[in-house]
Amino acid sequence: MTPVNSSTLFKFEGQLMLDRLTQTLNREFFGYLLDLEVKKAARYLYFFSLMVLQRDKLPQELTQLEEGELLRRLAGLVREEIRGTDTIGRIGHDKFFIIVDQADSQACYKVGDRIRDRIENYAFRVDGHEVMMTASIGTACFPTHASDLETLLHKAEYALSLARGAGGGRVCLPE
Amino acid sequence: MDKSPSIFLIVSDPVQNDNLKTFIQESGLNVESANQYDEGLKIITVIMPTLVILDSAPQGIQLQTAVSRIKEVSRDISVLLLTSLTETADLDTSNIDGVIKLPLNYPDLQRIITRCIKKGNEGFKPIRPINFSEDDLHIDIINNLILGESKRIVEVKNIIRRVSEPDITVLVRGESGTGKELAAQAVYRCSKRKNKPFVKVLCAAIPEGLLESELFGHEKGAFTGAYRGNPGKFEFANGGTIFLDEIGDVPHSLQVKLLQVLQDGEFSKIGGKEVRVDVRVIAASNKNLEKGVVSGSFREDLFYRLNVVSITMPPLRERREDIPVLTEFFLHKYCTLYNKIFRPLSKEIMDKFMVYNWLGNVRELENVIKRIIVLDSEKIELVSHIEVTEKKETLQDINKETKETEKAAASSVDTISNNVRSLKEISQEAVQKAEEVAIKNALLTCKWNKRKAAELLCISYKTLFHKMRQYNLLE
Repeated sequence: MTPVNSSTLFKFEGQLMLDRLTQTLNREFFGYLLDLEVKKAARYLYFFSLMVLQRDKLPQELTQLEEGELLRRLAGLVREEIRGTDTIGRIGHDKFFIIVDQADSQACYKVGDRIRDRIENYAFRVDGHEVMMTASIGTACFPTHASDLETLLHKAEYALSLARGAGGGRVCLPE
Repeated sequence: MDKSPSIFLIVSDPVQNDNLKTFIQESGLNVESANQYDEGLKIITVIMPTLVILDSAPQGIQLQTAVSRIKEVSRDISVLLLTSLTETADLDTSNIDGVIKLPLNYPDLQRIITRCIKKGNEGFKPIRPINFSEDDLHIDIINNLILGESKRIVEVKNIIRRVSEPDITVLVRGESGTGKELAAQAVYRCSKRKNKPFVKVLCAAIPEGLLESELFGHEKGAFTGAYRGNPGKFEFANGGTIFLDEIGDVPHSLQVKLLQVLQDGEFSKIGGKEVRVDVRVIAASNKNLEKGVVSGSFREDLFYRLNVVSITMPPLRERREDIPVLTEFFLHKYCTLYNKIFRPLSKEIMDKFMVYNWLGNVRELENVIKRIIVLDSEKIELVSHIEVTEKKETLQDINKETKETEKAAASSVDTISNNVRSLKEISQEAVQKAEEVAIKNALLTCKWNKRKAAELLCISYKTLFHKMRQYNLLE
């Protein structure tokens, strides 16, 4: 029997919990972790924030393959900017959720702005051409904006809609 | 295989390139390098190295394509990736024989290289192991953290090397943006406590009421809202190092408690028992603590406890010879971060960098370079940055002079007041005097260019012209 260590566990479970394209958590597993985080934060009384990130409309048409490559790189950039204790999951085609551990709304806003800046100025390359991309980010904090999972999701999505409604390429809080 | 193994580096960062090259040469292996991928690939096809060490973000090419092109040259060539990413999960590691993480860990690097060379060359004896002295490693750590070879910075590096080993309190001083935190990091990473926690506390950022609880922790029920006990930063740092940034901002009431920790290694949690810790303290301040001692805002005994060894980070304007090295470092850093193609700055811009005053020190230089990379327009950005800063400085000077004129006007008011005059007349006269001086100064600063002077004074050209006529300043 193969001994269980962190790498074998990750590989074995990886089939179930990772999104193949971006190597971030898939929707189901992220949902489970988010629910757990809300329960833990309520029990042990700490802040955490949920960030929703969606890429804005691209200035040019891309093939499915090229778009996949961009999303993979985008997820990589986000992962470089967040801490090792934060969690990222791919929820929709171009939408990512991030649990920013132990962060209040101000701290999460700062992280969001750093991610926005990195994406906005990063020269993505597709087939040798430079593609510039922006992303809209909505954040909501537990318990500042919501103290249950449903409201937290709703508030974060609402903040994202504010960011997108204002033209994209920005970070918004729900208020 | 009868040829001796050789290693080829394609690393865009010159500092890392040099470090790796020196290390490999000292290991007794042949090493060659190239900064650009295309150039490197051409050389690889000729020399056929045993191992290629490649940047995880090669310039102008996708990583996967870059690796497969090397493998197309020969499947026998091993490829190692050099990456600064903390998580390497998003790297495509197919075709890659190993990952070297930054900052470099030499024993690990030695192991990985030996493994790769053995793989491609079964009969080859392991590479000559290098016995690194602690001092060499420390020099390397310090050089990677603190860039520059100017006299002032070399002095700082020497002090860091000497003070890191003994377990003494260190006070790092210097203007904002000079790299005080990096100096603290260097002391910590060269110390015996390098494998223990390094806890950073930005004293100025924590509200006064919360700082005590943050530093020393509290017990459950210690105050309203303390639903559970909380360990403080000192407890987290037990066995390691605590870095107290902006120590000058610690309130007087808390300084006694800090002194107690420094003296006895003991403190009491809020609402709780005594706690004993073994923590090395590194403090930093951009304020003149001696003045604080004189004015009474900083305790004298705490100052002497902290000031066992003092490291003063020199401002950038006093080590101008380091500007090119720092510029190149930040250019590489932001080109990699934003995936832009590296282009050195023009000589004209570098000349301006060398004479500029850099009041914000290295942080200001970093921000200017970041803007140049992001906006891809070095001239516009730099000229506007320097003009804005100069404008601010000039305006500050003018404001200072205006204040002096106002003072003079005010004093003249006393004499004027002896004659019976209306307040309106007095104020008008004072305003006119101040305006005249400010306009004269602005015109002199702008070499009598009226449009620029108007901009400087934030008034329209027309108003300036009118005022100049009023004060007989037209040539």
